[in-house]
Amino acid sequence: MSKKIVAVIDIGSLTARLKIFEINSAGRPKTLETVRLYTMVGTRSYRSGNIDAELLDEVCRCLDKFAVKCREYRVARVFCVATSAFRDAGNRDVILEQIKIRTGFRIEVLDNSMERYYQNLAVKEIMPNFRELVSNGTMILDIGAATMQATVYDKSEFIFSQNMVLGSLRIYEMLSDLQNRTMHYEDVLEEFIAQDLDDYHAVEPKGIIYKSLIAFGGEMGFIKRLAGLPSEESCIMSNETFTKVYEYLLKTRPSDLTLKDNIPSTVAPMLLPTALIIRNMTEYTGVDMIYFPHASLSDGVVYDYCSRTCGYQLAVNPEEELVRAARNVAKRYRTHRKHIEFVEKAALEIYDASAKLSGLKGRDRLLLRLSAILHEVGKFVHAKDHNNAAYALIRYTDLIGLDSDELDTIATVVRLYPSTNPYDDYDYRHLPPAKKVKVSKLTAMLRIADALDASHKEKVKKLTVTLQPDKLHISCEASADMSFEEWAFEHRSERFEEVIGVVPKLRIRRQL
Amino acid sequence: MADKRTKKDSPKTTGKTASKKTTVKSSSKKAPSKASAKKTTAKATAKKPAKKSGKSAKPVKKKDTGIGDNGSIFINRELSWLEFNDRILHEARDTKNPLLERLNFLSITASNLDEFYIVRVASLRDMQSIDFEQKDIAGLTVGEQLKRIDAKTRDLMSLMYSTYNRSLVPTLRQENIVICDYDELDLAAKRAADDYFKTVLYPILTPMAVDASRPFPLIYNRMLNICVMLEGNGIVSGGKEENASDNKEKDEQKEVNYVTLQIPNVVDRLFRVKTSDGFVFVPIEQVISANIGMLFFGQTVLASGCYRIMRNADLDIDEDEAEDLLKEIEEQVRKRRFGEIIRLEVEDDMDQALLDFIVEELGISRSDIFEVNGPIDLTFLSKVGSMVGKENYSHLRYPAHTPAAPAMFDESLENIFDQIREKDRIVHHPYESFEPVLEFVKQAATDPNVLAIKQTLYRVSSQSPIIASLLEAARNGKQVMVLVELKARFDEENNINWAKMLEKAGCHVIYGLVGLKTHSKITLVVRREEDGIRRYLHLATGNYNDITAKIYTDIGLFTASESFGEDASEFFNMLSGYSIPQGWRRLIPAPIWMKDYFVRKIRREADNALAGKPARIVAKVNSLVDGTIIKELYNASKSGVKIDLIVRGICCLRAGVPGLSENITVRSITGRFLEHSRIFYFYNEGHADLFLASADWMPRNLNRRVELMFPIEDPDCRDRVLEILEVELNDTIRAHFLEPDGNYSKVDLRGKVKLDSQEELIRLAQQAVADRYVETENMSFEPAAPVD
Repeated sequence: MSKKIVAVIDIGSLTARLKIFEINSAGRPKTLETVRLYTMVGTRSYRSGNIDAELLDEVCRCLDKFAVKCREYRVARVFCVATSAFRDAGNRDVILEQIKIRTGFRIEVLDNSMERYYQNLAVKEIMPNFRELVSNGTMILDIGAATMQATVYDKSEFIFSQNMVLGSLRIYEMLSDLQNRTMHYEDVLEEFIAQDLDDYHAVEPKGIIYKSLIAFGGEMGFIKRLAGLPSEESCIMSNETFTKVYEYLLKTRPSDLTLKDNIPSTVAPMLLPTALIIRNMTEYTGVDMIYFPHASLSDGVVYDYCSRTCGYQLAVNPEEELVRAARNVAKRYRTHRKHIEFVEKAALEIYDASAKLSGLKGRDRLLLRLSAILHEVGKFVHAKDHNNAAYALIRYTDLIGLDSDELDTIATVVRLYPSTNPYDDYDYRHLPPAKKVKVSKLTAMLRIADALDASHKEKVKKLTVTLQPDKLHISCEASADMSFEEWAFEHRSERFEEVIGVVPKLRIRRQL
Repeated sequence: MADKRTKKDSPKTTGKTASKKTTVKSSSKKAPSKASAKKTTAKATAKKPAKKSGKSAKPVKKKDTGIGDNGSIFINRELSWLEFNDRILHEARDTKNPLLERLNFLSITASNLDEFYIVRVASLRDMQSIDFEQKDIAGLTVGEQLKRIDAKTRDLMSLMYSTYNRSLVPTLRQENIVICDYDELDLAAKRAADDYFKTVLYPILTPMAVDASRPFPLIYNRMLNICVMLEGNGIVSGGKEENASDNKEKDEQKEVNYVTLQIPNVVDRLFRVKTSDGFVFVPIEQVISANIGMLFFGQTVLASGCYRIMRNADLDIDEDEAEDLLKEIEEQVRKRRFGEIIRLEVEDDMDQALLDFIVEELGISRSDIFEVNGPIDLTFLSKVGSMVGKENYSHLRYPAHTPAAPAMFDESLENIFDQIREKDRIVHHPYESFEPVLEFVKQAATDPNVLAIKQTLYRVSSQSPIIASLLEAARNGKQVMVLVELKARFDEENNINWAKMLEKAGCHVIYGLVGLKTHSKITLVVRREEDGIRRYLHLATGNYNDITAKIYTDIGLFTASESFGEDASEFFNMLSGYSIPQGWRRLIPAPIWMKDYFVRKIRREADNALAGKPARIVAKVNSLVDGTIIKELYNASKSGVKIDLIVRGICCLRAGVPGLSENITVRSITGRFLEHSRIFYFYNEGHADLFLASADWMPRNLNRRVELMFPIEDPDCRDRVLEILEVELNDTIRAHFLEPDGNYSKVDLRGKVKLDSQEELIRLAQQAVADRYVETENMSFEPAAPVD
């Protein structure tokens, strides 16, 4: 009869937040209530590198309080996530265990990519005109307490994303003693930020004409409030208005912000670093309008849940987004587009046909697809050892929406697919058993898919893959002689049989 | 027994009493009472030391106490409060009021005054003791304030006792309700009284002797005591220095012993004798005095007399003025000996030596003595009504008031949630019954769809049905969160008990924010419905107290509006320690935003007036003290905003002063119901803003309390509230108007329609119910639409 109620707890660097959602019959979430507690977990864990006992107590107290609230609504499910404060703590695993024992909450520590994924997802869902905006050059700034993420869209496509250690709290922490050393704190701060942003500009794709800037995170609500806008709603600010706020922040001490503007003392010092970053980016991109969506990590988590289990249709399909992102990466490293497209298609055909036997499921198909798209990026660096180079490149690519383990799986598959004996590989031997199996299966598929276009000449015009009782039948209609491919295929099919349990047979029909 | 009834040798017939001078003297020197004249045996009839000051033989004239013609644009709040108590006394003196109700009003006047001394005067005395220099808003020093308060209080008290002696007692007698002295009783009645003493009073009396080895016992605040002087056995060897006057008695060197005993408060203050045609009442202290010999068998009672003290005992220092100095004051108070006595009341015929003894032992300043010619502590008068039988003498009481059914609700309150969901609803107590509020919590407790109930409790009645419902809700597995305000003055103990009980039952009890009293009145019910979570709210101007809801006029709003509900959730989150949200949708809380909000609203009216647009403010509050608000109102008045204020109690604003506040009127309504609702109306160029609130315009409400103000948006609800304002503004009977000089006067009725707002509101409430029936009938008899 009644609607499903779920809750998301988000333990950030500055605050712990509980958001309670009601999910309607169309699977769409609606916020019922939001509460937050200032914890400053980040402040202390960044400094010491660990979460100490006192901090642990505080987090548990917050969670106990949240538990009461969850009972109040008889919440069906609670998602409990933590971000950089936990991510970067050396003792996070023992702390998580402690928290689980003491409060019953199992906290999932999001890596950067997933955190950004949820944030971006929330923005895409909550900003009504997101699709319209990204049809032109758009920069998205997600300013967290510890790091920030700059993401670029153009022509409705994801172009690029880069993470930087430029979170508001981090900046404040690193520079707080500067305040005592210099009269020109702001100038130094600006220099500090500008230097990091320059590094970003160096790697950022060129030739994009920016029309809009979307900024969120970083206690943006207070910046909105200082501009006289509603803090709890999405809003648009002209560059001019923003400059006024920026200048006000420049000349107002954090303690005065607390007194005059009723901004919590824990947040006040973070506002100037946040504004500086936005200011720098508006100058760089030359946009007139800054969009401040009222979207949070928790929203993203719940939208993701709704799309997976409640039949909610997301505005932008995150898998398509990832595929587009991967293609952009492949393009950046100047891979052979047609070859890539063929291998991607072939790999998926093989995957689908052998699905019953392979035991792979769900996200694995996506991982194979992304591996196929990225399987030659290493050639940008080194012709022979391209697979090892690709591993590094992929690991250092921000593919928003993949968690770190998934990204590692892709990188490993790409590194191992050309290898005749991957079992000998040092890194492979150190993988956990389940991952060994998964990597082996994906590698085997990618290996034969790649073999079908070994010459990079796109000879195969039509491809059908069928699973028969004794073999996996791959039939190709080719436009040219396929001897090289046949040779490569035979060479590589042995391992497929070993890990999937069926012999792949290639049958070629020459088109005349 | 030699002399049982020491002082009762001067029987106080009502006639005699009435002839007495009805002035409360500042313990002026007086002719030795008969009692002392008769037995100035042992005691050195020491002349009282000449009073230092303040004891002007004549009471200070009203004009001089006038609430401050010291050129200030503000009125001192204490004096304004005393003015308010004057208005209550006025009700006691008003012969148009039923007699027993007048007794009640006098009793209220007396208990108000007690409370005033304990809280306000005590605070001022504290300030004085640390030489607090700062002047109040009206420019008076602490010393000046105390001086004026003292003068005004003496006036007030003499008027109270003259009302009692000259008006109430004789009139009661005409109704065969006799309040008299023991000596006036006939023999049978005396025997009954003596018997009452032997069987009831005697066992519970604890006389406490005072001598070298037994120091004067601790005398409790506001308790009535009798002090007795006994002839001792030994001879004093020239102990007393100045035994000037009386040498005629031989045994004047005889030792004297003193005993004090507390009049028990577990029995009624009045001893009642039923006569053939009525009742006779005697204060029990007289019954005790008359039989006092029984307590001191074998000893001679030389004199006895009643007294009562008020001490600055509780650390309940009023935060209003002290503000920043509160800490320091508390410190000072702690250092000082426990509870300085700030006031002593004695009967004006008390034996001089006995008085000297008390004054000396208790270390009382002579200027703090109040002599009264009648029973000390008139609060007992409120009991007379019930002691003559609640069903008797109905002609001497207000016609019974049964609250009308709440007109905005359906006849049946079943499924109250559906009704609230349908539209917002207003209830106005006590004109309408409190039932919807009780029913709201009760149904929430049992409704299986209700997930949570959250409520703020400030003052609840004992046996509160609300508490019972909350307990039930907790038993039914609902999440119950209750904010119990422990700091509710004079209710602390009661509240702690409830809090413990609720906690035991599994409710989540919280005690509010540190340093802030939680004064808001709000109930939030979270309900899981077909189409999702829905929040139901009750917001009110008065407490969740079903008893006071029969006397206090308060307005409550029921709503299921989403934005109200979201704010309410945030409000409770704030109370339970979550961070304060950055902005709310409908509710305006104090101390964070309310004051600014008022200022902005007042300024907007002022701006509109300056722009030549019509501008008006109507506000109904209990007290208007806040300096900022008053200044804004003055400015608005100067800008041409028409301002009508209905302020029941303290009002520090001067009304109708040319060049300052000529556009402001202030009226105070006193009557059988205690005006308690707070309503705010701003014209806003025709888009009137209408609010209700739990807060008064006082610094303590706006700065140091958690309060809520809420807009009334539903058109029907707005009509209801506007109607209330309109009726009260048209009142010509109950309203007292504040004049520029700070005094209050009633309207000259000539040529005006007589309108008693409280009576009118009773009528309108009944009318509304009647109208509802008419509507229903109309509906049921509506002809069916023709079928074509």
